[in-house]
Amino acid sequence: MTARELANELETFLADQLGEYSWSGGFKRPAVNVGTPAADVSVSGLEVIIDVDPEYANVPLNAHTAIIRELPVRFIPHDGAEAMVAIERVMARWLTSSPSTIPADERLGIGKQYVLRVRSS
Amino acid sequence: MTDVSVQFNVAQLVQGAEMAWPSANRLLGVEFAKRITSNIWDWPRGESPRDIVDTGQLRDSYDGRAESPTVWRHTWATRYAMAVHEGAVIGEGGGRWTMPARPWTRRTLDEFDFAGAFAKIAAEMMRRQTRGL
Repeated sequence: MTARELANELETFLADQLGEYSWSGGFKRPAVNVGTPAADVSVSGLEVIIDVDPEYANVPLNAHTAIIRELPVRFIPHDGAEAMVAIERVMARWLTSSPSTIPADERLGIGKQYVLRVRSS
Repeated sequence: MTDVSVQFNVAQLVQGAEMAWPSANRLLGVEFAKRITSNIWDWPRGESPRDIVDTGQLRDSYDGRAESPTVWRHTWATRYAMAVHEGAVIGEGGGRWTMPARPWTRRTLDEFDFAGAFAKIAAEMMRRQTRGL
């Protein structure tokens, strides 16, 4: 599964949870994207961003080590949006890591966000 | 007839293994620090690869200690430690970008044979405990 394929699935799967991307011309679409959206896009509600590049992790098995491919999925709540419902729904649907909470940090310029990794073959 | 016997108490061996646990974890702490301070991390901007030392706050926030006789906790108590480890979307409004994950704990545990290091230290400790028996 590619990041784009996962984004397409999430757009449907989380339709009632996702916020919106808005363009100055009035065009809107659900706030799920591969990589950060272009600078002229504003966002409201819950945003889901899938990293462009997958990650690879070693998993020790009985006789050898397996390398698994994972897609980092980032949940970024804007305007006080709720993220945990969407996160738990994704965890129930796909094989994922445990979610990590990344606290807001003024120095880095980030709001509170969450990441979990979806395993993909 | 006088028998020759050697009495051997397994508690001595167990004690030797227990003594190895803090040493092995301190060694693991050093290995974590090596991954933080080594030029092994890809950065999307500027010089790459480079380390993740930055101001040194992350590296210096490390604390490793026994929580109980069987649990050792390795902690980086900087607010942005999780953002560096897991990556994060940086900025607000236009010009946001994704800082990639630099998971120094996973990388260390992939590369460093902790069980092997523990076994070596434990073997030496057990030899000392049993005085070469």
